[in-house]
Amino acid sequence: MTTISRRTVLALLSAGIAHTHLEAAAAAVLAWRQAPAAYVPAFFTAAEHHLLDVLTELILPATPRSPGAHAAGVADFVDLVVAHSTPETQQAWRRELLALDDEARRAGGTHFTALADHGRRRVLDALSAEEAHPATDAVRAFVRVKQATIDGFYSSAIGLRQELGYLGPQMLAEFKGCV
Amino acid sequence: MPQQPYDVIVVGSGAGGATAALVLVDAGARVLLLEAGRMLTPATDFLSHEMPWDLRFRGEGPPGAYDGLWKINEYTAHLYTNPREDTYDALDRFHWTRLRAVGGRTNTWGRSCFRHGPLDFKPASRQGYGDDWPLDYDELAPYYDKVERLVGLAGQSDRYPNMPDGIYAGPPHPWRCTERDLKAACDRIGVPVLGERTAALSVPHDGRPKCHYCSGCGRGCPVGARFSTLDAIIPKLQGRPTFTLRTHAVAREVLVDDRGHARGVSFIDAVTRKEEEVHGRAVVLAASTVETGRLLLNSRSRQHPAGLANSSGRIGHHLMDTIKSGPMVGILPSWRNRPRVNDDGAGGSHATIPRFNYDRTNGYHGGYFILIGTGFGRGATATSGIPGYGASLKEEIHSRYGSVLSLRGYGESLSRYENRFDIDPGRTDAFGIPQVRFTCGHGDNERRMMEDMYGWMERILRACDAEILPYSKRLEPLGDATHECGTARMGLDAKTSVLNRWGQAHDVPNLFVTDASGFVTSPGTHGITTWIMALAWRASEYLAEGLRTGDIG
Ligand SMILES: Cc1cc2nc3c(=O)[nH]c(=O)nc-3n(C[C@H](O)[C@H](O)[C@H](O)COP(=O)(O)OP(=O)(O)OC[C@H]3O[C@@H](n4cnc5c(N)ncnc54)[C@H](O)[C@@H]3O)c2cc1C
Ligand code: SF4
Repeated sequence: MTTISRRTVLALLSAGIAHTHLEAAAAAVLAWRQAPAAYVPAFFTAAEHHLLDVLTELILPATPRSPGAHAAGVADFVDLVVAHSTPETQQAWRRELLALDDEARRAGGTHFTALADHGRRRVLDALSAEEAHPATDAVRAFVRVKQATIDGFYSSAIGLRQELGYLGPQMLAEFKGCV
Repeated sequence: MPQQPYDVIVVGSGAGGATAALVLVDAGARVLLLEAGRMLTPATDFLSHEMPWDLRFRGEGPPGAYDGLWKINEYTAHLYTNPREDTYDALDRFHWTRLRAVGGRTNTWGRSCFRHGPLDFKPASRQGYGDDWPLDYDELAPYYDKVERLVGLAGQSDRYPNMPDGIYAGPPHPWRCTERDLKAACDRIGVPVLGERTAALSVPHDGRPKCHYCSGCGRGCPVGARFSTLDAIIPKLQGRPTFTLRTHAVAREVLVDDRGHARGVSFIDAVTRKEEEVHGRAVVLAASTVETGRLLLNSRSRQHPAGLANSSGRIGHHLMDTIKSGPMVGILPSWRNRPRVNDDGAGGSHATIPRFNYDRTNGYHGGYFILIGTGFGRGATATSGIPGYGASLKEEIHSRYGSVLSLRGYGESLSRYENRFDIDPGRTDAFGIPQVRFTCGHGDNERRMMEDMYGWMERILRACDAEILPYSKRLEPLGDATHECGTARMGLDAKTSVLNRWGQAHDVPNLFVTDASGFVTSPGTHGITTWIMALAWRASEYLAEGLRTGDIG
């Protein structure tokens, strides 16, 4: 797909349409794409993946400017990366997510994902209070998921284009600099 | 003896090799150019316009896939050599960034092209340290002219000390707002900020289009607006009866005759895996600094038992790179929540801070320049250290995007015998060619310079009223700046150097080296590549004249 989009754009360029907004070309290509099938986690169990999805959306939620981590498919991306990580990293993810869920059960009596919104926040507030000096697996889980959420969200079209407002890459006839 | 089909065998088609081939062919020599890699097709090989989500791992590649060589990523992994596949040993680390393809690393380079000046050629006699180069700026200046006319620079005259003005095809790329602000702040503390002199065209030049400001250059330029030998030199050679390009030709050894002179090159065809030999009256090596040294050390014969042209024992020694500090990052309150604009530009910053320590007592030798990073890029900036989660986190990242100024110092590393590579007795590459191993690190001078870099970077950020993010002082491993050089050094004395002032081996008159192996020093000015090319041009004219008169070959 990426090759097609690039070729399309290069064709436009060679046709002399140097001002063409790349996004327009990319959108045309996107329109041909089939809607993706539901993501099947490669490393995490269904329950872990669901937990991850809930956590990432709490960390970077939908706001008036843009949708959040769930819509951006961040949990799917994190799963892909972890599936390609070393066994040590994989085990750390699993162990720490479990510790976070244990924390929820201790504080709220049930799985994190089964807690109501304020219960989830109470758990995360407590973990976040320690994030500068993580001493437990549950806090480490928070730190790890937070970093992965940031990486995944801002490398998605929702995060980079819609939320941050990145305007490139375009093919400009001229770069004006500071105007 | 039957007439040889070639006068000169050139190894490597990057900056040094393609330049040599062009000058030699123009002078009437019959040239065979051996290139280890494949031919590239810009439209399909360069992912200049791709966005992170176009790639499976969002551009980063699978975790840890490229061993910390940051120039290699998911956009460029098909171009660069993966250090995990073609492995090498490096005590204390050496970041060896290799790109095997027609054009070499000129396909992905940063394009800064500042000239080196009179002082840079004479550190011993004019600055009190190291060794002088066996030539001076005035001798090289006409070749810089020729190179810059070919390359096509965007830039302007600055009349800056020890950084002579060059020949500019077009004006410099205009500054972003943040670059203007930086200049205003630096003016207050007496730190210079100059426009980049870059090999990204601001006007059409030599049949190539001007830049369209997509900032994708690090992945290769799809239209040839940035100079590469692939786009700007190879097309001038192809189709000429006296030029032959052989791709997939991995040079293994330089062959010698009874007198110990070069008679050709043996190479392995990377596709068929067969070994072949080619012969010529002279051999020019420009396989990039480390590869050239490796080739020489692997070319052992009765006449040259320690490696070809190595009677001085210096090949592989005096390894240098530009030293590179870690980043210092500041958030500028006045830049927060700036209205979004397309800041991409010609890739990288359009302004730079040149070496400015000339009139001070520094406590170290040499100098450095500071590279700046600003603008609305293809990723969030400075996202670490923000407490909490939820809408407030998202808001803070939004506010910081494009409000960041990041600085890194790049400076001279001293030429030291101990910093070296040699042949690893226990490792060969996929073709069975013995691999090098590195033994190198930073010395006291580099560490003292680093302290000065951090001091000035902090002063600059303070002058910008920046909130400075936590940092720890460090130097990146040698090699990280991809300016490696010095391991077949030039000099007047054959006992302490490998090449003479023409890039000709002291021991082997028909062997020339035209990459950065011959460098005597690695001064703190940004522009090793046009320096390589100017020296290559001069060496090749000398060689062509020698072939014509019969003095060489
Ligand atoms: C990301 C990046 C940014 C950079 N930024 C700048 C910058 O801003 N300014 C600057 O001046 N420089 C910059 N550089 C450095 C610049 O790319 C090099 O200085 C320049 O390319 C070196 O030229 P070369 O001919 O020595 O080697 P290369 O360009 O690396 O070419 C060597 C060629 O030799 C071939 N080869 C290797 N071994 C063999 C063999 N055994 N047989 C046959 N062929 C072989 C390779 O395939 C390659 O094509 C940058 C480099 C990188 C990677
Ligand atoms: S910014 Fe200019 S030089 Fe760089 S890749 Fe894009 S068009 Fe080429």
